[in-house]
Amino acid sequence: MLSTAIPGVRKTSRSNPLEWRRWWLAIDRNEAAIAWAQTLPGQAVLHAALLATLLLIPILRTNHVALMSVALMLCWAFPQRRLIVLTVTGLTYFLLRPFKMGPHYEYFEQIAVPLLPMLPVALISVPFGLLFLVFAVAMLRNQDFKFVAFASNRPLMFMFLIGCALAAATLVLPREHGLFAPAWIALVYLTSTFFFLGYVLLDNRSKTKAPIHTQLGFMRPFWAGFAPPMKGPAFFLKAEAKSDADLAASRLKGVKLAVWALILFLTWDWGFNRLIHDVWAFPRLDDLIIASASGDPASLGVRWGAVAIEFMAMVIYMGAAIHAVVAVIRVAGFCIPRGMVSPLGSRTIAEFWGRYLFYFKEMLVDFFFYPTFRRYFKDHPRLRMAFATFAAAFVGNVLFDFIHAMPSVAFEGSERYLQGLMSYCVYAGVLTAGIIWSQLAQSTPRKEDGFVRYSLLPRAQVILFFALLQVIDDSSANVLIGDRMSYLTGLFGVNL
Amino acid sequence: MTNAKLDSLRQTISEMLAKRGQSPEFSDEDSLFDSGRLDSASAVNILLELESAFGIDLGDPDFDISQIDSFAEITQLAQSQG
Repeated sequence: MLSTAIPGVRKTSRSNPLEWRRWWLAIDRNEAAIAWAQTLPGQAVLHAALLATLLLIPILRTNHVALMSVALMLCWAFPQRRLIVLTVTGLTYFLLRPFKMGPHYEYFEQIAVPLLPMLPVALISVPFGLLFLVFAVAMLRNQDFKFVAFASNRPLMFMFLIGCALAAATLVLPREHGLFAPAWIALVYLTSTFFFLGYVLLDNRSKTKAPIHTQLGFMRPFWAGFAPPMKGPAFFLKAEAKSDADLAASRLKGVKLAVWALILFLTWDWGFNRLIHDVWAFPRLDDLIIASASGDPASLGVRWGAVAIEFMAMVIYMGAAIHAVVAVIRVAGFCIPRGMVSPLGSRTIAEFWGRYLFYFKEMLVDFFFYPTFRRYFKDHPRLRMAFATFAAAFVGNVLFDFIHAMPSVAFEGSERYLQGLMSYCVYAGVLTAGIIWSQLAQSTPRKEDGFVRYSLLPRAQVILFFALLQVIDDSSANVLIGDRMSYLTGLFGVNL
Repeated sequence: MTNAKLDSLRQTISEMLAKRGQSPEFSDEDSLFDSGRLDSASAVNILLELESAFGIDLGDPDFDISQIDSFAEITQLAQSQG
């Protein structure tokens, strides 16, 4: 019975769990499974399995899962029109839910409703979104025709300068001023779509660039939510399944990844969240930092334990989140690479950074590393590499975090923003120094070096570096950077 | 001369693929970077080779890394400078 329901499993191997595991991991290369995944029942089972899995991973908001479900159903129903589905769902998402941060919606409603009182609140973002699309089209046309050379050659810098001007206007103008609301609204649209539009503009230089309507669908693709952009339209054109067998394999890979995401989420939720923190009442890292700062530090063992537990929990949680999103994209028919690939197996700091959050790293590399590497210090190879890495790991990293928060200054004040910025700069600075050191000086171990020097020590060093780094990784300013630094040095017996 | 340099570049790419635990075999049309087979560190090596062996000006504002995603595209770019 089993072999008719699940193809490709040998009768003799049904009782061996390891054989089941091997079968599952190779399912996207299993011809019988690929054939089954092309049948209507197979397609239905795969979509149902994905949606059921997503509902069990509450990292993704229910509304977002609903949008993803609609997009997936449309991609399933119209496989030949998949890019049009992306355009329609992406534009709808952009017009109705254009921002990344919840508080921005509340403030947006406060200042936008009086400007257009005749519109229902749910649709208040539509006209502003349409205006922003006009700006995006103008930027795209400028890429083709170079009306404004600077904006064409340095589109991100151009948008950043506009953002700075708008942010300055929202700081200088009193809220009652007639220009305040338009300036803030323009700022929140620009900062929310900054890197998405950046990828669209970057892709416009690609040989396989998508038509303009497809490009606009990537202003906020249906999977966006909290995730950074996962490349642009040209990348997705390449990754799109080209045949029924490709599509079936992509869907199988997607469901496989979704199941892995669920396993990771349950490990995080039941293991770390409930068992370690709730049942065993092991303190959380931020609570220990606050306690240390107020003169009531826990024992050294507990402080180190919290660092280890928080790091493992963070890697597992982030893995669950990014795998869930990539799973959806794969089932939709785009067989893109995973967003996290065995980061704990990394032997160098630079390798970990590439494996941990692959698309975030790719974004920083695409927007900051390559342009800098291509332009500066060509005659000084090591400095060239270091400077390009600095541009990506420090400048790009800080900019990504803080460009989204720029509109918050208008209602939260600049003090918190600057505190968070300073805190994140310290974190990004240490990260950058670590990556540059890794690239320029850290030798990649060889197998001949033996198990300890090849597998154990390098991985332990990398894990230790990133576990300690997370102590100062915070842009919220909920815990001050000084307190974080004191905790960090206190782990080594140095009390600041 | 260009063919010899391209052969050398192909060999370099094969070695980079093997170093990342990938199959060293690749066709001219295979995606190298967008597919995730090679990473940005590998791209840097290829950029350096394009610059030094083929005299390609990477500072051209219209150049984008996506233009060298496959060996066929790399070949085309290299030959356009020759």
